[in-house]
Amino acid sequence: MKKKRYLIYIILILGSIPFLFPFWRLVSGSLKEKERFFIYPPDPVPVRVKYYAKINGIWKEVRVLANPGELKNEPEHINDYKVKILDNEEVQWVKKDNFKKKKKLYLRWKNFSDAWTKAMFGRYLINSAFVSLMTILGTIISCSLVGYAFARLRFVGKNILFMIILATLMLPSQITLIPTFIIFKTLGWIDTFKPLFVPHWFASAAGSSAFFVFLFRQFFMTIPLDLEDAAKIDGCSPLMTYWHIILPLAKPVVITVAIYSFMWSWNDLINPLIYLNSEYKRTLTLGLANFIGTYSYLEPTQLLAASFMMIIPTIAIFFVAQKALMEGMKISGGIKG
Amino acid sequence: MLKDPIKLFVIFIVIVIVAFNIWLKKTEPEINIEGKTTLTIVISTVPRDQIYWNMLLSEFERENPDIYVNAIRTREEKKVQTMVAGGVAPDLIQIEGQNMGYWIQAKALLDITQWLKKDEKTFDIKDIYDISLQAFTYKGKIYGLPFGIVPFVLFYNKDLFRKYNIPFPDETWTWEDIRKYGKILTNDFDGDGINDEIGIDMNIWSEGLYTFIYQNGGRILNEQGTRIDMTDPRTVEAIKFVYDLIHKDRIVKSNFNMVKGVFNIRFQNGSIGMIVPGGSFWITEFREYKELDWDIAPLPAGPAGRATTIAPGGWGISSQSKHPEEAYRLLKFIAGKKGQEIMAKSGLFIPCRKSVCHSELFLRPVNPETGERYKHPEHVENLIKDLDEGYAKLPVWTSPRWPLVRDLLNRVFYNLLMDPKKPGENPEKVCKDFTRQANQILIEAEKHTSGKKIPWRYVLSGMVLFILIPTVFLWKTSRKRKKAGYLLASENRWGYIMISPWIVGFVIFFAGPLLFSIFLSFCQWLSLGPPETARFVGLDNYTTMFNRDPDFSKSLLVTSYYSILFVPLGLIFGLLLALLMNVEAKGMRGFRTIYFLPAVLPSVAVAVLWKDLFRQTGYLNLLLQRVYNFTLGLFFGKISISNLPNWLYNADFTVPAIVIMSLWGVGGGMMIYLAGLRSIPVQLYESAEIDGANRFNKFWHITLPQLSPVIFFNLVMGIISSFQVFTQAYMLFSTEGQANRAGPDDSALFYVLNLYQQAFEQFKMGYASALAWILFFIILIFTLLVFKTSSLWVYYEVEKGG
Repeated sequence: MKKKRYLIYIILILGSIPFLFPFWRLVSGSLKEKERFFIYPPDPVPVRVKYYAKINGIWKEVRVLANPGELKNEPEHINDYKVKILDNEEVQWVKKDNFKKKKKLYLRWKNFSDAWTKAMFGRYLINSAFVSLMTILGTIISCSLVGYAFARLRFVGKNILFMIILATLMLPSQITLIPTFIIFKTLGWIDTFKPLFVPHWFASAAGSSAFFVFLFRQFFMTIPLDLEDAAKIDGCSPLMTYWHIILPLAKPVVITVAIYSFMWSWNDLINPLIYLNSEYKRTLTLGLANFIGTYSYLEPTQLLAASFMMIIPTIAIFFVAQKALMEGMKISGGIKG
Repeated sequence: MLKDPIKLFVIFIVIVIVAFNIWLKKTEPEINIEGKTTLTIVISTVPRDQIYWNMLLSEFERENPDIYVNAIRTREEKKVQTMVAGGVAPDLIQIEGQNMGYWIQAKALLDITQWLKKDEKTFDIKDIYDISLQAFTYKGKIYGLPFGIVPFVLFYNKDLFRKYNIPFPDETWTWEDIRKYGKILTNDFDGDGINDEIGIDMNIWSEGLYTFIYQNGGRILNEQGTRIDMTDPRTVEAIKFVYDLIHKDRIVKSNFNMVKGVFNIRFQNGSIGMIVPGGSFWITEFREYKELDWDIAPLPAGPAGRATTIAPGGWGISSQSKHPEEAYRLLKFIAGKKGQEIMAKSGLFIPCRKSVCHSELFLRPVNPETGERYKHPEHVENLIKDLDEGYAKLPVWTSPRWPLVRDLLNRVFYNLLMDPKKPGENPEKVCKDFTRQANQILIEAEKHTSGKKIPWRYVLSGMVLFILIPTVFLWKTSRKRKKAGYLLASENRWGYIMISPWIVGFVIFFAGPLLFSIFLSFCQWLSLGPPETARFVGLDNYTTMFNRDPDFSKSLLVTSYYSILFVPLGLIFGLLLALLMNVEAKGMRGFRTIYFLPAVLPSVAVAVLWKDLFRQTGYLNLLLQRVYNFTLGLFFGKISISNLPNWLYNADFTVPAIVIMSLWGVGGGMMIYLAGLRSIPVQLYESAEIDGANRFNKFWHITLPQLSPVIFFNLVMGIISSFQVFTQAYMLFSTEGQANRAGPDDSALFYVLNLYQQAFEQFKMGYASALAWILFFIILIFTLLVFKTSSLWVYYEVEKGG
């Protein structure tokens, strides 16, 4: 029995390496200097390297032009370093003994502040946060309302309408993408945040709202009927029942929906891509997409720092609400057939 | 009520939202100012551009206090097109020599010939380099003015030249010199197959390629200048020269000629000897690298002598502009003496006025921030040497469809020169094929589109009726169905009230768009123009898709390839991990975190991270190399990192790369399987053990069948979502330059990426709608397939029980 246990541990530990190494690059890369970002072999941790040569008895900082073995057309210096003294641009050859390389740990926290200000990711983050919060709010309010109606109330066509909601899940969101764009263009809402969250307030965001309606409905159906009967006897309308009784009980599903809704919106690329024009309105996803092109070679460290900043809230949510996330996975996985 | 966590949560969110909203509105710069006319222009975000624009705009606004310029900064190349298409064009449109025709065809520019004639006395147009002015003239009419020139020159790294005692280049250099010295500058010291230094880097986009063609006396267009003709032997010879430098001599940085393993390492990092040809726009960037000691020289002469292309950039007044006269003032300022002096001071481009180019301001540039003279480049005069001595040529174009031709040219020749060799490709063949394909594009452009005009009023009213009629029908039947006691009228009403947001949303955001999309798929509409330009074409879109569109078939191939790889692998790994995790042991929670965490990270940020990991010398290859050398390498011999693929730049490995990136998130599926495993009743295993089942039997006869509904669900979801991949493909590939919008050879042209490009980059809304519907049918077919076969292998608990 013990042997099997050890085997499993070993496999899991080995298997976790491919899952962990990207994080290593994320952290160390975002703290490196851009000059040393692309070198091979890469520095495992961010360092600053300086070269020194002893010229005429004095150690001076130099720039290396050639390492030993590279000067194939100067055989008398084949085993020497060829260096350029930084002070006066003089070129010299030095023997290996008179050459020193110094490495120092250097974490460039400035990358983050640069990304925040120079590359405007601070603003992008607030834009993303604004849109995501509006989305969450709208989703929770509208989807829970609709979900409750389908869970408890009886009205004509209820089953047909619910089937329609489920059917909307089947349709790829790309089908409504273009006409919806045209609708928003006609409304003059292009280059505003409205197209990004307004559909969520109507429980009609392509590809996500229906799912949340479903989650709410399933959850509400598990609430014992007595509570609602009691409310009805007291003369509450369904809306009041919803507001006073049901909603307070809905904490688990609200958390799950809030988290998923947040993740969806935080990570949304295609909607900001087609609706937002001005740079001040960009969300994080657009900001990163904009950045990653040719600019990624100019400021790769800022880019990684920015993506790190985008990841942090999701990691935070993960650790805080881990249980809720896993519950959500189970719920979605538990929908059989 | 106050202690209710949900309500608190909601209130909290509302407060934060309001706070953000206020902050956002406050910090957004005010566009419309009292008493001033606002002009809008779109400019790049690159830092080196900012110095120029800040200086120019503040000076212009000082001289014209009645105007405010709203400069929108963006990095998206298609932004202005999108704005023109959306009817919100900026007042001035930036024109780049080769896309003039495109704007002219869209009737997007104003003809300013007469205005300039009137201003002959005050606006010295003769001072502008004639060749740069030509670029903005069409059929004798002037549509724009230049604001900067980008000549191509030779950049060289002085330290590397010093290292090997190579004389610094000058105007006497020839093609043989770059070959000779390029070889000396290319070295692999440690013999690991990756060059530590490489002689040449090339900016080989169209204008760059032209320099070699002209230096050999070749041509791109035919004699009359109406069609492409790259079959001229001198043209082919020139391309062959470049080709040999890259593939035979192997002294040029390319996909397969590594420099310290990183394809994208630049001249700035000090291991590249020369850039030839190099666009002058690199100057401002190279200056920022303090350790780089470099200079410029005129391009080396070919067998027919010296030649260079200049790519002039300029501005024209938009025909949609509401303030053309103010826009004209800005245009004149940009191209005028003062504006050009600012151009010289900022160092952004080379000015287009002879007087400015020959002044100290340009020849001895000074850093505007420090006031010190720039150390590099020392020989600034080499930027205009070819221009002054008559060796400069304009990039050619001949039709409004030229941007398509140019895209094709970039793609075709980039593949020939920079991509790993494909069998059968050689310069002569490629030139012939390209000539034929490009001329096809030109010929098609001259045909007209046909089709019936669309009576939008009828269409829209038809759709409204289509939605209204069932609704009214439903309403009528609800009134009839008032069976006593079954439906409470009030509950019925409340039901509808509570789902009313959804009903409204459904109609506006779902049903309406659905119907509209069906209709659109039978139309052709280039949404650069207003809806009146849409045409009804019946099934044309669909037939084009299946018969004539290589992008469509390619996208199907790519997407299926990804599906076939990812769905089974995701399933297997997810299940495997879940089985491992199902053990009750210490530390399992930690492992679960490690494996699950990547699945919840935003895929945009993940794509950014993996783009770095996929480099030739990125962490992935590093890991693979180390692991291989540590295990199999002991038997089969060690490998160097150059033996591993350059994932994102190698057509065979782009989709596998995305699969790997997707597999990093397999923890999500793992959690689902884990939940499924946990829900299997233990009694089943116990009774099996009593019957003498071993581990394998238990897995095969109990675990798998019990899990089959979950597996089934994941399979369906996996297929559906694998067909909708967009974000990863866009982030990894579409943000590159023109030639690689969907990966090398379009190898990452996923279906939805193609859809997006058709709809929002080529503005073919009708065609894209048709594509969306085909996607739906494909997904439907697969889903039905899986459902139909499910009865064979999915096991549902039939008996009721515990």
